[in-house]
Amino acid sequence: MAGSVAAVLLAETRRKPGRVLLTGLAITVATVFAAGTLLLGETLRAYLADRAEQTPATAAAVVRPSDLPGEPDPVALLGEVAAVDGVADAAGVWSAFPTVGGAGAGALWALGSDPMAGPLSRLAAPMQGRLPSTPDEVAVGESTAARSGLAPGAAITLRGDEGVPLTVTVTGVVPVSDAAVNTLVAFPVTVAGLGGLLGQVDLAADPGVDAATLAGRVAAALGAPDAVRTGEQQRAAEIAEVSESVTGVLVAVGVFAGLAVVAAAVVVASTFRIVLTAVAVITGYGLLALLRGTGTADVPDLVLSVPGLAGVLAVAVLATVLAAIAPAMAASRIPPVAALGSAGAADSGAPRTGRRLVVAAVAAAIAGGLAWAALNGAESPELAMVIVAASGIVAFGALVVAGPVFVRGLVAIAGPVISAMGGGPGRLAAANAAQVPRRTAATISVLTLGVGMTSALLVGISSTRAGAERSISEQFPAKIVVGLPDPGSAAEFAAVLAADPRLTVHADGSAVFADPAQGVPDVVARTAVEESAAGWPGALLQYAGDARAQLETTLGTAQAIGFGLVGMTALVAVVGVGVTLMLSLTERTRETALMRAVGLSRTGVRAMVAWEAALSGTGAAAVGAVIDAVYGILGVRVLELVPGAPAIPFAALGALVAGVVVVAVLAAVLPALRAGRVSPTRALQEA
Amino acid sequence: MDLAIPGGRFTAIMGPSGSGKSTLMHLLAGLDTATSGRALLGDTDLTACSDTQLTNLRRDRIGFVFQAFNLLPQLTAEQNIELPARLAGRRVDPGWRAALIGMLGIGDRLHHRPTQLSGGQQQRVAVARALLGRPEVVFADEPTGNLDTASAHELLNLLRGSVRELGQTIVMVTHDPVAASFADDVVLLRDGRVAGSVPDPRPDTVLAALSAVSGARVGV
Repeated sequence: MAGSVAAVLLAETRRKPGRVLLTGLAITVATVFAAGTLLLGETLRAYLADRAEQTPATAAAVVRPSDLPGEPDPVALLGEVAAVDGVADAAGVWSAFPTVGGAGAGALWALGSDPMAGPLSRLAAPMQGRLPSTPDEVAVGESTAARSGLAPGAAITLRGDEGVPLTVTVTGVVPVSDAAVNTLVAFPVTVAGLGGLLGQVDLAADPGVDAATLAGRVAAALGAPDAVRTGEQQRAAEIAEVSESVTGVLVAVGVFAGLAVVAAAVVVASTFRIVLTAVAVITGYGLLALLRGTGTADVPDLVLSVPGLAGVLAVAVLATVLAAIAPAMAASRIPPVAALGSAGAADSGAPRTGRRLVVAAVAAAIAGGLAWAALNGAESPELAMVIVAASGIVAFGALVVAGPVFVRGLVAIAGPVISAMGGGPGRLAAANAAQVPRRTAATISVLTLGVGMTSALLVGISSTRAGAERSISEQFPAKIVVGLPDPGSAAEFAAVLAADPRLTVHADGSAVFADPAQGVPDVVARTAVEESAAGWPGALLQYAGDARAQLETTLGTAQAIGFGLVGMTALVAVVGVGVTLMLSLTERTRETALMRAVGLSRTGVRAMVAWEAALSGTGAAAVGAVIDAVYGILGVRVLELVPGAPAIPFAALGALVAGVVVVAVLAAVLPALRAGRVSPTRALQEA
Repeated sequence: MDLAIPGGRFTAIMGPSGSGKSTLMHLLAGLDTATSGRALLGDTDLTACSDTQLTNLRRDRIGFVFQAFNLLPQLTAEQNIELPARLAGRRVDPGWRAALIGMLGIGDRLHHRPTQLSGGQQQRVAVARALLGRPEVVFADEPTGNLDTASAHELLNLLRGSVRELGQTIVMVTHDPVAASFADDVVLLRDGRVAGSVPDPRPDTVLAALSAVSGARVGV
């Protein structure tokens, strides 16, 4: 029995290879989409995490002296933890704010420490010169070098709170996050000697000792479990400290990747081409590498998550088989008599409106309930986000069930417009859509999914961006912020700066905010502030404008990766619509031939196909954009990405709707050309 | 081959399989273009027409009735009947439409879809579709091939009636001698050539002529 069924299937495949090829293509694209989304998502995660994490991945555990009871002697502490069994290396992370003189302006700079070599060094390769090799050498931060003009070979003096000035030589320029404050890096001993504070001790583990064990041993040795964390815990805390929105985005990206897999499973309809999925992953990876090659300069390395991709493959295969069950059951329910009836009518006829609406209403209610639960009941933002995603999937299910009914409504609204615009072919397209609602609904669900995910993403991106910009403005209300030891000193310093016509100045507490006056270049204003600050006791300059620019670059890159995801979605939409239309037209070659025979021109046939695509596109775009903008907002809400109301990017959403209609019509080009080539004599042939 | 089909008459084209019946009809109906020779509809040379001209000609001057009915499943009977007019953007003559629907007896089936109609009813809807535009010629390709005997006779009577009473020109391709006997003339083809004709045909005379042409006895 199974053998003969397989034989019939094979014969059918041989007779109509195009159909199998098209279905295979749909699966391929869906898999590429899932794999690509995962890749881009992981890349975005790595990129953002990299910006926020300070502690190197090589640190298995860290000690935070500020959490130790009493005030332990830092040098003794370092010796104590280094002696713990399993600790391969211990590096103190010191920081100081010495007054820098001799070159550039004389003011407080940040001085950080680094072991300069070994696994616990946090420095990347120098961009210029070399790393310091003796305690009287320092490296200078990239932005600092650009602002101050310091280059390898320059000699500067560092003076701590007390003691004699120390003359050091600059040996190189290194990439550190020094956009806001001028920064130098020296050996720990140098920093300690200038009155630096020990902020953290990074610990590398001996081979075979895992992070948790090491942290446990160190905690036991110090008798202070609160002061010891594993490296992983510390890095997570650093991400959380830098910005809540980064954590939110990371959760959102993870959920989005999960949704992509679900989306792929939906698009994968009814075939068994496992081989193609493997090809798809390779294609997807190549495609992304290409994308990266043409991208902006700052695009980070792609992160390939092997378990993730394996998961995509497994889900694609599973989903293919599961998705095939429904059509198979439907096919087995067709009575033999019906099979002998007129061909091509299988998708037509009145949809079972009542039953569909009931099921859809139940699903919609469940989706609403989940959304409510996510907003009100969830313990953590992560859980809430997962619940929102689940609610979105159920809502999509409701849409699929209600699809044929919805198509009726859509045609009732859009049909007259399309008939008026498209004449005869437009009327036919509207009739086709209305009378074969299931076929139309299939096209629309594929598109809606794409549009939906894109619009949710757009809302997410724009809200995150708005939130980040708001917090930047709050953090850096002026181009230059000067921190001073007390409000009195700040008021005095503000008075000095205010005398300079090149600056607009105000003081608030112990900070002074300075902006360039109208028409004054940033550099001139900066130099003016630096000159005044030189020699002013305890003045720490913060280059807020630079920090802001850097944050914006980071944000822009993250957004570019986000748009990469949008692009993937668009690709899926094009292929999805193209394949659905192509399959639909293959099914109704005879209908097309008949229309040609009774007087529809080639152009007319093509226009009809294009109008059908436009109709599907309009429906999908409208529904997808509205529903999923709501989910985008929900996502932003539950992740608490933004304090105020979420930003709804109306312009972008409008462009998306218009873009989807265009994309749908573009996707119809090939099917339309093919349909136009159908010979009218095909109408005379037996089915 | 050289063949003239007179207007206002019911002409049947017959011949064994592979005799060129279908090809001939495709050429005459402007469904296909000839590699050599000419096909004229009235004064129009079909072989010189572009695809668009042929499309317009099929739309405005020719009607079709197919063996497989070829109604669009997504349209009602009424919408199927009016399809060519809608494609052409023509106004439908309501009196003529009512007359046709009355003559074909499909008045109570207009809002049904093809799947809800019997074969005979579907084919009568197809005939209404073909006649609504008052075409110069209606081509019928094995119109009774999918019908039972009673429905077939009913349909052939309707076709003959439209020739007699309305002056319609009909060209019918068939391999059924009984169907051919409803025509005014029968043209016999063999190997792409006109091999004979049967004026005032009856089933037995058609069968005899067909047997002679085929060189073998043909069962009915």
